[in-house]
Amino acid sequence: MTNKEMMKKLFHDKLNQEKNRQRILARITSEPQKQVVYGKWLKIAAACMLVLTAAYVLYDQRNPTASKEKEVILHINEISKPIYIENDAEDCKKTESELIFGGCYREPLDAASDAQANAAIDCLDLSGLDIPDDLIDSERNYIYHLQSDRNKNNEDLLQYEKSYTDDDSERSIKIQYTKGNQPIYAEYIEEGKASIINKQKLYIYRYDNSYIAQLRLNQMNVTVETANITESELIALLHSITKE
Amino acid sequence: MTGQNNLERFNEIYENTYQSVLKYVVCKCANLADVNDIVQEVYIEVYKKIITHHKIKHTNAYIIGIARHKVYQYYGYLYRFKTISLFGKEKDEIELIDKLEDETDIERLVYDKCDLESVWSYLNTKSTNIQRIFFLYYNSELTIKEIAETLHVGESYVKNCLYRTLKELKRFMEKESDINDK
Repeated sequence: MTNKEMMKKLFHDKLNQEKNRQRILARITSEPQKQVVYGKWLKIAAACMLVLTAAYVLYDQRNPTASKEKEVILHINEISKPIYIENDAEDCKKTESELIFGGCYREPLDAASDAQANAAIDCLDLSGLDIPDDLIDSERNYIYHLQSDRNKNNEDLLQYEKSYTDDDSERSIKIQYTKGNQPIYAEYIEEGKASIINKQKLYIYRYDNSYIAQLRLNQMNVTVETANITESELIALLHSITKE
Repeated sequence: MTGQNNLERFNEIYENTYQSVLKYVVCKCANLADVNDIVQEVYIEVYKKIITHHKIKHTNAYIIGIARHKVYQYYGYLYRFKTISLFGKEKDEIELIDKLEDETDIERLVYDKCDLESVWSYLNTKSTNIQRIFFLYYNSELTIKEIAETLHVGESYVKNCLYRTLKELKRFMEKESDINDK
């Protein structure tokens, strides 16, 4: 055997055609079974993923607040002093209205028998509000006036107020709104950092266990005052107010 | 097609294309030790095509296409973009000996008593190009000119690789023989 023949034999042995064929056939006969097993498990995994995704989408649709929370950018501005200014007791006695602060009176709407104000109270759509279950519509609407006596004109009308309270009147929500005027507490609160809920800019302030939220909605200034309402309840309420 | 028919078809294709696929893979792979694995992968893929009733036209070219893909898959796609300079390190190491004549009996340079395993082990230590040249020269029985054309290198380069490696192999085998005798 020449050296050339020996070298050829070397390559023939090392890259042997028949040996490779045997190995190929052995792998062919064993591989399909593995593929079937892997394929089956892959299909099961894919089906599980599909079910989980569908369940998540369904849950998200039924719990819109859960997903809407992602649209919330929250800044609670802490205020160090109470908003309410104590009224002069003597002044209060003189009027049927409640003096809120100098020059501003709060009065039950029906007591004013103001038909125009009564009609205008519904200028803000408050249906569908997310109010805590233990609170109910007090069915007492208020107006805020610059005048204390009964002879009021609409030019003195500052804002409307609807309120919701629980049985013990410990927890309450007041929603005040006005078309042409600034919120009545505006000058008493320094403008803080804005929050965003449902792409709506608003300002939220907290004092002790009370919140005040101010926002501009449908060309109206809206103020939400709460007492003993949790932050999450407030956020849910503001969501329902600002939703389109 | 039944399983038996598939096997027959596979064997037919295997017989007809093995040498060309082997040659292609040897020329493209990074190491001779990987050749068997890659060739097996190629023909497993071919068998899969047969059993899925895939019509294989222009068998040789089709299977070379599979082989190309398998080589890239084996080494990763970086291999495809890697510039393999055929004159890489060898350019500095191997001096071009233009005086080497074609009729030089290269085989006589190899030690007569040839331990094939030792030769194979030694060849695996050499560069990929040298391995390819040896394969094409001894297994595929190409001429130096044909090897040069296949690998896109100069004939002198092929001659030098063969000549120098065989000289080194001879010295290696002599050392091995001395050790064994002791």
